[in-house]
Amino acid sequence: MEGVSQTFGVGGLSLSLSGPEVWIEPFTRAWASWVAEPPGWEVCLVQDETLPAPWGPFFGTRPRFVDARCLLESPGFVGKIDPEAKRARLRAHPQAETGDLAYFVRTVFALQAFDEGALLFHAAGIVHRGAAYAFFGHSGSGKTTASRLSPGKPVLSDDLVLLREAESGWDVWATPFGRRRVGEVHSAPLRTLLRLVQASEERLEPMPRGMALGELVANSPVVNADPVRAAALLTRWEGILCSVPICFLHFRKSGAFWEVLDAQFD
Amino acid sequence: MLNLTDVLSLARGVISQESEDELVVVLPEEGKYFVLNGTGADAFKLMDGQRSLEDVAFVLGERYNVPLERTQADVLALAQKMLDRGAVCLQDE
Repeated sequence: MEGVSQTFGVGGLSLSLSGPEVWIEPFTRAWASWVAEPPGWEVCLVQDETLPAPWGPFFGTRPRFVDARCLLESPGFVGKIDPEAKRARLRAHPQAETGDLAYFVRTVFALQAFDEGALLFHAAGIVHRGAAYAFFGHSGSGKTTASRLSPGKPVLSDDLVLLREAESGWDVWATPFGRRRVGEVHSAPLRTLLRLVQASEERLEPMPRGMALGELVANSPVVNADPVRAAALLTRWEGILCSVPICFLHFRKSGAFWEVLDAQFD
Repeated sequence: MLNLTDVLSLARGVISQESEDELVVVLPEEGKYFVLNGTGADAFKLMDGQRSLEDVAFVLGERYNVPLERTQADVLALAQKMLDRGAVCLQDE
């Protein structure tokens, strides 16, 4: 089977994906707007029929860190990421689906981002009046709902955004992980971090600093599973919290929360 | 069940960081965290693999001017909770 490769760029970080055409082509199609140069971290996808057929989604497999390498394994999948060599390799059964492969790519990207000074953050990034509002929380907290309730506003992602330090503060960048709206908007300065809480009214509530750190670490995928990077992760979030406010946003299933945010932050 | 002669230390991989007047304790391998404040944070920091829980209670009792019996009960309860959550381990384990 012929191998092909394609490089994708997200927020100035690039990652080169190689493997059988049948596996790479769906990425090239779905992530057409992310095609970039030059090559960055190498991610090699290899079909391995000796592995058992997958009997469950790869998504959700928790990474393990051993000897500075990240391992991601479940039936039908054996993934190894070597951050020092900037290289990753996934052996997977031919029945693996694009979503499974994308999960591995996402895992690699989370490590790459962190090691290059950025951060992949489990949040919906919505741009309002030129600034990005990062709505975060566990699955089901309302990230996608908040995006849907913000018609006309660019959505950088409704699930995972990239944070990168800028000249003044931090920028929120779009990623191919999750749904995006208004593709020509790639990034915006981070205005505030909002922990979503579904409620019967719209209101903001201050979040104690310690709880904020814990919540933010909990929403930093992959890196938060690495004991070696955990301390640096806390420090990085402390730095971000020095430049932007963080609050609980209690909200109903309506777009009225933007009025509350405007009153506080505009 | 813990007793006052037990010695606890931070479990492998667990990290903590002070932030303002709180202590954030992160269990990276489980992706979990919790926040301690006041005496809880002080007690946690004293579980250093050297002091027994009795010693921890004594230090806190002196520091906060609280009857020793009450401090011992509070320290035992906190230590058990931390042990159940995997944040600390028994020193002889």
